[in-house]
Amino acid sequence: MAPIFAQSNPPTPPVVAAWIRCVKDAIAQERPRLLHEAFMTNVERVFKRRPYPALHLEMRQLKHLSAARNVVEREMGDDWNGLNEMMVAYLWLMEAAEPNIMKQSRPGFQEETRHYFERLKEFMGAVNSAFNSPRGAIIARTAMMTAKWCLLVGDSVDMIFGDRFFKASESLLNLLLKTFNISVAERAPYTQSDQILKKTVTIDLANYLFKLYNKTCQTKLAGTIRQNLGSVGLRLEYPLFRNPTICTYYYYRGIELMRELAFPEAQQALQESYDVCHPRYLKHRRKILIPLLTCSLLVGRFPTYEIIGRPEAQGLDELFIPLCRAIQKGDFRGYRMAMGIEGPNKWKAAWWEQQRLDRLLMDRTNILLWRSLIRKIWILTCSPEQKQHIIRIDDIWACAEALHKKAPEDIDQAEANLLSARPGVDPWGVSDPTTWWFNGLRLGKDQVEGVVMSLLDQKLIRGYLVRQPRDESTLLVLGKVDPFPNIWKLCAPRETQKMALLQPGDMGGGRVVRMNGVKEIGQS
Amino acid sequence: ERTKRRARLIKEGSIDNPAVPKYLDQAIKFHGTCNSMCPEFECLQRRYQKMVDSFELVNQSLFAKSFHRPAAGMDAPLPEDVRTPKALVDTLRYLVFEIVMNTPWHECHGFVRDRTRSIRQDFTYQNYEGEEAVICTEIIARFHILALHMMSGQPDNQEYMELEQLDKSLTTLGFIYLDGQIPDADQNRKGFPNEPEFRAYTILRHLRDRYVEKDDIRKWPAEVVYSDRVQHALRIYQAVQRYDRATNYGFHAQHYVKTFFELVKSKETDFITACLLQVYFPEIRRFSLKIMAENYMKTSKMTSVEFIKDFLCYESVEQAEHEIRHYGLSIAEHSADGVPFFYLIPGKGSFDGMVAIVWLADIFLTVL
Repeated sequence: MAPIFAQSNPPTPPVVAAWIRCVKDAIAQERPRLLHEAFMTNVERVFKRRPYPALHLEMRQLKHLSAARNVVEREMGDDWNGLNEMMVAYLWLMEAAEPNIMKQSRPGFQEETRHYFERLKEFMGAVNSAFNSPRGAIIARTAMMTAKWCLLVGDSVDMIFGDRFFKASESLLNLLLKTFNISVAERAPYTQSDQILKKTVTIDLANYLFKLYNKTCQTKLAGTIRQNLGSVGLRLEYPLFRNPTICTYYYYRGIELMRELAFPEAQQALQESYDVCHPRYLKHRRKILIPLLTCSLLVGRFPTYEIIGRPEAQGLDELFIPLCRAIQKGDFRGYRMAMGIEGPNKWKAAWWEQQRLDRLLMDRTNILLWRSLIRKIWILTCSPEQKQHIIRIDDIWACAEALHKKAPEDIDQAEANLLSARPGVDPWGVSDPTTWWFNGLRLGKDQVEGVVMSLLDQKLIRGYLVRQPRDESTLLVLGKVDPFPNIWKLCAPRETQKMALLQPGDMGGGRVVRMNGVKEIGQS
Repeated sequence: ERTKRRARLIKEGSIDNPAVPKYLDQAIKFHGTCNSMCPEFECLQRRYQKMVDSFELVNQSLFAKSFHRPAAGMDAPLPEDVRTPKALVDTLRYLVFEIVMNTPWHECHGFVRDRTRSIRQDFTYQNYEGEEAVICTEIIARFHILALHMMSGQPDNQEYMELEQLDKSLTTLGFIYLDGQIPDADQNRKGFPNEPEFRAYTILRHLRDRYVEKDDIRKWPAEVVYSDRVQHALRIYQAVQRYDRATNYGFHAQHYVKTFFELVKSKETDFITACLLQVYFPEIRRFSLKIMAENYMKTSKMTSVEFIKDFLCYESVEQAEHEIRHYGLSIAEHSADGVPFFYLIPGKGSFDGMVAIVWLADIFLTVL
């Protein structure tokens, strides 16, 4: 019986018909790349490639979503309803697409972008439904590329509307998490690069989620993603995954570990990412290099001039070299200058803050500075012929007090006047506006003793303390052998946890309890 | 009667019908209508059940609604069971100015804690985040912090419960402050004059759990992060960073105990902040005693208890001695220049940190 055409059920326009044929062919011939070409979402490319401008015009003529749905269902049948919905959503997305979204040359681009973004999210939802089907493996590439495009457009929307809470990006979290969960749930093992599997895009989807979590300050949720990845068992190597994917994965892993203060592991992960990153991509290498250098110096590995001289490290010598020198020498003043707290280069403070490394460095390098200062005093006052190497806490205190003194221009005169005029304001007498120590706390000998206790307990110095009678200075008696152990050897990561997600021989989809006579999935 | 009233309200569209599922954005906004400190139904119910507190015995107008734990099978409250924001402010005013300021803490603490919990519950029922909710929750948080100090050493002190309620109050405030940053239709943002104070308390509540290194602080406005109070809290946080020796996490922690106590004594630390920090003294001292036991010369007789008392800011030498012995360490007597004193006998393996110590404070001196 011939179909009855109406406004809600129009005849199939020619370009739409050709497009549907293309989709059918891609599915029948199992060609994921061709299928992805049919679902191109990048607006810039769409309006430059035939027949998409014509497809867009035809959709504008169809006008209604129900019309598009009826056309697709008529042409595709009801073999795979999820795919039908995905096609309808794509056509509806094409209806909203505008080249102005990316060029921003006409007024009204803000609302057009937002409108397009809403349609894009609906399309992503439809992709998830189709991807979830047992036949959904062929849509994996489309799912991954659509997720990537969603991220870009969400970012664009946040920027256009000046939203510092990134609401548009945040609205993608659940959608992409669903895509990720679908890809992870597949049981077939991924062992060869030419397989058509949902797992081929798992790491990419994880990377997009990590990016979103970092952006929206929800990095706590990244742990669940890593756990799920760990249980899947994937070999993180080329050619199963592309090098950019591997590089990004290790980068975010490194950043996460750095925030958890696991510096040795963070340094390892960032080093892996840096090694994989192609030398041509200077911007990406620089982005990895900055936290890598930070983690490295925190575990006692200072950068060589060769690394600092690389093209991607331009300008980093001005920031990292003074910092490394200050830590090496125990120079508190040099450290403050390197961090932009004191001295003429206050721009450095803004730079460290922008990189989100200011707090980390200030919190975690202070004790290294004390260690270096004490080591310097040891070198200057003790000789190898001495039976025991003893340092007086008073000497350490005198040096530290001098290094914490503020220059006259940095002293808050109002504060100083207040304290001298009204001593009752500081009844315990712990304030000292002329010192940098904890922003105006008087640095006493007892506090220095407390610092040394902390150094001894964390094994950064080997030795012990001896209190003396009356007002004599407490003594730090250093160990005879290697009293200042190498920081890198102290922090060296344990061998228990490897960076790869997978141990050799573990090939299955998910962890399966081994029972007698039962083979693991994928095991021949 | 209440069943009929509930059915009528559902029919009028004043409250949702729990039997009919609907989307969240279609839910009817719940508004409390009770203008007194306690809903009439509860007054009658408590009189009948003889559950009237001593502070409410004089007359019914002094009844304050008590906290009711939501339980499965219980009906949702009616609008007349929930107080309006103005009534909640009046209730809190009464509790603070009439009860707390005129009654010893150990007599009124339990009553006030329960009634303030009910105030927060009523705001939650209505999903109300207006000015009244902010003011009330801030005052209630301060009450909990003060209670940590005022009730320490009391027989019925439950520090854990106090901290739990404090954490809930701070969490509520955190969400309200965050929501206030989102501009309204006129691009105006809400300002919270006390936000730096309570953000500082939030940092101090996570003193040794790597809170600052996580993401939350990034979402705060710059004027809050760089305020004096938050910066002071961050300095205190910095001074007692935690490190886990057996793991790969938390390298190069500062853990400057003496500096921590100096910061507590500094002029930037107000009374309420000190009350909150006091909660951490036992843990910090325990850790420090362990370090001292392991890192001072074993055969030295100069690690005097007097030094430990000054270093760890104990109230008295006796208190220091008590804690030292409590953790399995030994003390002996010695004299120098004819002056006798007690000293710690250091040694690895002798410290027993598994036994928790109760913050004794005033009651300790009373016993002696």
